[in-house]
Amino acid sequence: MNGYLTDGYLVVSGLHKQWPMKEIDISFGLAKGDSLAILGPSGCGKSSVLRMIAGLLLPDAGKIMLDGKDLTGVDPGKRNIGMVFQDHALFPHLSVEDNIAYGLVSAGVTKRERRRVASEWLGRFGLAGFGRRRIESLSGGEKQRVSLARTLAVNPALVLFDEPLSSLDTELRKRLQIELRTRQQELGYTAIYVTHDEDEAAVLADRVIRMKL
Amino acid sequence: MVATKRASLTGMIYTALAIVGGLFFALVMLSFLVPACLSIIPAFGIASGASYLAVGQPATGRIFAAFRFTMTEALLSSTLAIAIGLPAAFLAARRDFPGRRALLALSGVPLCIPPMIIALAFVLFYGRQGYLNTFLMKYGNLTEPPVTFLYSLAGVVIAHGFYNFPVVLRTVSQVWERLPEAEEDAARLLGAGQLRIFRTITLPRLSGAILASSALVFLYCFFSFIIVLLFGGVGGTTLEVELYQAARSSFDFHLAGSIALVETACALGIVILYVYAQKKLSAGTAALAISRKRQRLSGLGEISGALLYFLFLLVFFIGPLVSILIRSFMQNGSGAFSGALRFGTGAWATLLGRAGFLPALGTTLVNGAAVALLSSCAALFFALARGKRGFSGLREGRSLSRIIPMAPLAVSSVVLGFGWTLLVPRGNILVLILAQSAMAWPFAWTQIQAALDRIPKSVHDASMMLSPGPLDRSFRVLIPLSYRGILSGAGFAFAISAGDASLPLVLSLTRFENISLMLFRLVGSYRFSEACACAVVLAVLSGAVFFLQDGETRPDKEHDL
Amino acid sequence: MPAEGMMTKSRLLSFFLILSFFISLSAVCASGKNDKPANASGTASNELVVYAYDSFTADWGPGPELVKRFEAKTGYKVTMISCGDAAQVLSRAVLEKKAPASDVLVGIDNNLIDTARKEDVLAPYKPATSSIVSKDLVLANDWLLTPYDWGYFAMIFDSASGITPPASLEDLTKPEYAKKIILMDPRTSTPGTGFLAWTLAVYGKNYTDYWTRLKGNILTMAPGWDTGYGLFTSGEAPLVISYTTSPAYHVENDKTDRYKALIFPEGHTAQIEGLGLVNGAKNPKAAKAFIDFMLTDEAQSVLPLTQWMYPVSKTIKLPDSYKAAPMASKTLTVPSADVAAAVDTVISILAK
Repeated sequence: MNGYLTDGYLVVSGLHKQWPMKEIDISFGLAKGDSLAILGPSGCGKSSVLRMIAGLLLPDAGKIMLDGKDLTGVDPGKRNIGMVFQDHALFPHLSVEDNIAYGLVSAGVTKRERRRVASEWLGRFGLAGFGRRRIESLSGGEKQRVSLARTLAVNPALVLFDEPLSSLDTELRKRLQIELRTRQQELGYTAIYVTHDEDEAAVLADRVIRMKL
Repeated sequence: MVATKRASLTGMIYTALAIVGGLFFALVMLSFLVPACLSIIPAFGIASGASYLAVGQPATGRIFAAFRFTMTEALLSSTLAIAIGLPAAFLAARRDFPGRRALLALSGVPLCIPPMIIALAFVLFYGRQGYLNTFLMKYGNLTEPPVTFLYSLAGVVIAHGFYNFPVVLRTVSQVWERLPEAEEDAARLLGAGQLRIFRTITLPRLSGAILASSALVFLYCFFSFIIVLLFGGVGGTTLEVELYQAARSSFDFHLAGSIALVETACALGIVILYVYAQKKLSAGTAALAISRKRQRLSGLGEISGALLYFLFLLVFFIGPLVSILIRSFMQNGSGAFSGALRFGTGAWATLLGRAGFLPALGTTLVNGAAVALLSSCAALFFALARGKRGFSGLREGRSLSRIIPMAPLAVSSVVLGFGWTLLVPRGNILVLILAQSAMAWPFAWTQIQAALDRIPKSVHDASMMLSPGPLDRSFRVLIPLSYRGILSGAGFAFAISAGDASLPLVLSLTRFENISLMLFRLVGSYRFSEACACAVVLAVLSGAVFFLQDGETRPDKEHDL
Repeated sequence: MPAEGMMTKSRLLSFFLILSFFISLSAVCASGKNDKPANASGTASNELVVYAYDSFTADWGPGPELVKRFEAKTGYKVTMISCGDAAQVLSRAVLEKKAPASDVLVGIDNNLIDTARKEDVLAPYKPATSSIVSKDLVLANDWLLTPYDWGYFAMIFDSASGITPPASLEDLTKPEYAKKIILMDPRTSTPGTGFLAWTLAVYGKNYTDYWTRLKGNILTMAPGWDTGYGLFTSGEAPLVISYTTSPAYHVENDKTDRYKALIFPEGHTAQIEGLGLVNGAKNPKAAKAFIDFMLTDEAQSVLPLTQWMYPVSKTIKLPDSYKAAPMASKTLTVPSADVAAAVDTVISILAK
């Protein structure tokens, strides 16, 4: 749990949050391109750790450094961190294409360029031609892939996965586990996975942190 | 680089719009706070103000009696509204049947038809010589009218309950149609019967919406004036009536200020109680899913139950409303002693032929549109600003921020109007728009906030991760996803403005006439058939607004959050 | 429909809405500015501002025609504003006491004159043709108010109801009229006050006893004349308090003589409506001209078919329908201070 504490790509030190019934205290480090799984039973607070790193939850104490930058008090949208949610959280009012290109709009990328990036990612994930489709017409696995594409399209320094495969059936799950792993190694992004499944953690990540209740 | 320039241009536009929104909100808040405070100050003006409320003064006794009566009728009326509204909410939320949209459109009616016409509608229908009694007497061979509850507490409660149940219908159905099926299915598998499921699972989840709508109904009944006075039985009196008397006929502004203070303090107390209760129950609104598919009515039990309920609604709610329609097509027959009314379009011809009719219609539309715009922008700004507090998302600072939009509901339009006249002796249409928006924005806000609350938390989170700031995600995700609620809120504000006849009078606007005022004046001058025709126009106007905005989002299923 | 397009569309829509709001706002402000002539120029010598009540200023009321005739005759420009009902006219004047925005108040009647005097919102003015007003209609010896019309309060009876009409105030307490009488709340309605004054005039100190006995026969105390009379014509009850001239309206407009005014031998109370010069008015000259005008035949002839009250001028020919309006045999008067004091008591009796 300690190795990369001081000079890692991601350094989480003394992250602390207290609730009436629960307390979290965690420190770890991660090198660039590494993948980490946080494992634990439901209710142990692993999602909260993720949310604190993402900036969606305010910790009581602790520091988070990403690529040398201190993330304390930084808006989640400005942290250069991406997140894939359990229920994919795609924007229902936008098409597949617009979902993927969402993060690029505020960066000032032109429409044409955005379309190009989107279809590139769709191709990569085997969803060529899905650009104009509506979200609700997609299957669970397809949605998860689009969600991942959306997150990766903006080239984040760190990608967080909050139980990304829990809502899928076993068959699909196993397939996507391998797929996620392959993608991560191929594209080289740094990833943290939260899961309650031991086997899943083993497939997806290089290292595992266990959290207890 | 061109790209970043465009990005910053968009950013600037968002900022500009946000500033405009903030200005609108500030304007609307000031339009409420300043007159409200001004009108209560006379209570503290002179020491004699306090002496009115001393023990033993006749006024005190009556004020206390008024308070007791007010609370009783408001409580009973809200209970009735819930009892009638829940089945309607169920049918509208979970079952598909012809006329469903019409049912929902009805929910606009209470907001836009002034209470006086409702009172007359109830009389036309339930009165001793009303349609119901005439029918029953004829076919029942009775000599005395059987239905005589109207001029009693029962009459007040029934009039209030029926007039307000659509509020419950609308609010509760919007939550009901989004309750996740999983819980109910699990309970059914565990062997629980329908009734038990409803009692232990559905009802707790709906309690927030039920509480919210009943609070609104309660406050409406609390400030109700005409219906109480008309049906309250001899000498029935509410705080609002006492306030009217003090301010108007006895010119006793100090007493008026004192009553306004008591009335407002009571209402504020109710508002605060409601907010704290809401907080405890708010867990139920988390994790609301996408709108469920509605089933058709099936099974003998269900169909017959629904039919019975519709019959019940038809007789007791639609009946009085239709009476207005029928009365508008009645005119006095000729011939000595007939005095009887017969069918004819005379009243309509006269009304539509009036030189002032079209301008009044135009004024109503423009006025209503302005109020709708101002109210919904202010409400939208408030709803969005409120959600951004704290990193943890939507939960922080909830209580106070729920009290703010409820505050205008705790102050009656008499009080507010009084304050405005102290501020601006002769008003113009701008003052009217501000005053009406100050009162209407909370209604717009409940719709908008509900729509925002329906957005799943993960979608919120995703937008936070992918947008560079709150403005960006508000305009690109939150607003598009709550568009339906925004339109609904605007519709409410429009209806409130269209139905308001008291503020234009209190503000004594020159050369101002809208449909509501015209209606009010027609009633005041023997012209009942014409007044009923006018009421129909008003009802169609507001009903159309609700019907349109309810129907608009139907084809776009993907927006349906 | 591409989602991108839809997003731009909704952005455009919001732009358009906000733009149209600003446009209409500025249009409204511009027209609002034009609407403030009297306030701005203190010596605008041909502007007259009149406060009146709703049914006076309405399309079918006397206001528009009177304004037309007055402007044609004198060249003044009149702005007539409705403040609600007569009590609200006075209320507004009291609020504006320090800086009156009107020149003439219309609708202050014999019940409100004492309050008007106490609040010091009117200035006395005796019009040139004051002699056409008979002594019993003069509201004040110093002519704080000039009367322009009047009427008797009376119970109106629905002859199609099949019951025997009462013959006196005392008759109204008979058990056969249980829940058959519609009255109005004296706190918020002139006929309501009128009826109360009537009982005071007839019963004197024993009015409390009368009201206790009457209580069971009252169907409701309607908040205003409009709602009360509406209930009556809907057939809710066969008796209502109104004016002796109400039947005339029905003869003229509804072509029916079904509704009859009942004359009681003990006499009737009356309402005399007046108009007055505002104390501190910006344009007293025009105000006086208007008051003078109201007593001319030209103005008085407008009143019968719009106000359904008797004009003070006896030389005006009344329309045929007024034959249906009976005359009271005796006029009763009660000091308005006594009436005001009795309101509270009666309400308390009814509340028990």
